[in-house]
Amino acid sequence: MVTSDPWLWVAAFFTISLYTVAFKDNPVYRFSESVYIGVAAGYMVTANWFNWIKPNLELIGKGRYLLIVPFILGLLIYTRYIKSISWMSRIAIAFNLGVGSGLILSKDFKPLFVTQIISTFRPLNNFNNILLVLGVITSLVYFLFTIEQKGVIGYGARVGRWVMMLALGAAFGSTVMARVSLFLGRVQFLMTEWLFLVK
Amino acid sequence: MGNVDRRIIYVVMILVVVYAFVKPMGLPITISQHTKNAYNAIDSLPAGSTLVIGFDFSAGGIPELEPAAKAIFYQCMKNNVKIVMMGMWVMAGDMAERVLTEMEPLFPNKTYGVDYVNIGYKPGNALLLERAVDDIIGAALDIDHRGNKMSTLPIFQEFKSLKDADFWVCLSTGNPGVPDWIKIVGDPLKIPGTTDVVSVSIPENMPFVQSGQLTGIIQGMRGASEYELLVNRPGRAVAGMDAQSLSHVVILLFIALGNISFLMGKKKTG
Repeated sequence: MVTSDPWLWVAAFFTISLYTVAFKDNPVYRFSESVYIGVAAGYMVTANWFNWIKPNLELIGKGRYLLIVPFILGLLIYTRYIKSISWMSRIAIAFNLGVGSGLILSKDFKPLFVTQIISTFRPLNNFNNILLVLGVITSLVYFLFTIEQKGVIGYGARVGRWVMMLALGAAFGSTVMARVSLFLGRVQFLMTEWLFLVK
Repeated sequence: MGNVDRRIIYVVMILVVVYAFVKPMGLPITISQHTKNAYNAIDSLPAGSTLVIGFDFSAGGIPELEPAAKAIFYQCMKNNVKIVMMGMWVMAGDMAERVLTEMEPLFPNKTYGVDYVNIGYKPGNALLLERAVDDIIGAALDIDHRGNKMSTLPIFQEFKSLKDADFWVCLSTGNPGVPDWIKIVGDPLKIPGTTDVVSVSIPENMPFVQSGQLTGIIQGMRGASEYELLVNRPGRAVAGMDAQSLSHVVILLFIALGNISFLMGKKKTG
């Protein structure tokens, strides 16, 4: 017993064909990959049109003429395709960079930097806190490149290196888990929704 | 053994995963303190409060994030907590609709636009949140994912901006995501929140849990399965746990075999 929904058949075909590359590159995989990229691009354009551009244009039509300014700024990006006026695209990029920098400077500093530093100042009354403080200090010591790494600094840097290797190991483990979960999701789809092998 | 064809590993992996789904073993799932903290925080919200969910992921995050999204929706609707769904990722609206497709029939007495709403995707990343802090309708250009005029929906009579949120949850696969919610909503407005992240993002988000900027964390499919158990509604994440555990065993075995063969080869060559 399999599903009669044609769209689930399409999904199953693309799921299987995209996984075939794990065994060998083949035309079916390349076809699916191209379709995927095309659909993703089309989805992006459509979503942005209906969620943002069209409603904004309607607002301009209703008299909110100030919205023309960002609209023109956005259009300036495309001047890079006309060599003689391509310099105008930099205006839009500069505007974006300015806003982005301002946002980061005003918003990131306290919650993402100061608060994180404060949270490493912990009472050394349990193993976790000791490990955390030691890990932070020794990792920072590792990056003291202007001081020769010998003696206490050398030992600290070596411990810091181990701490970072453990952290990278944990990150790699999480990455493996994430990729396995992705695969499980697709197998689950094939077995439950497409083949009805599992309830 | 060190030169084992990678295709053999894939075949073994496929067989193990299929076996685990066809013959579930029901391996025990212990609930972590991080998931419990997130669950308790949401469970303690009084009836009538509003929880905002950021669907900041795309289709790739479905296996790990959707089960928890459904469980949180289920929990909130049972506790009469209102839900506002929005997102900085282009697929946000459709990801939320996937949750609603399964959840709406379970709560026939709950109404779209009164008890929950799907604003969907709006561009702007952090700037979207920044604008929504002052005026949610203005930020979303007065149109939700289903094409309704937001100003006509009853839920927005009380929920005028993100300042009116009682709790936030960021379902995240990357950037924009958790740091944006913390720096624009969590920290400045003192609104508590949590996150459900894909496994690959767990290490980078743990410092926010440590600093108290996140109330617990739901960690990938594993965390989602714990959450499903907490709301007493085992779903896809719980079903996937056997397969995940077994596939990890396979990976560990191959890592061990690879290392043994490397050490033996080293010994032979001196």
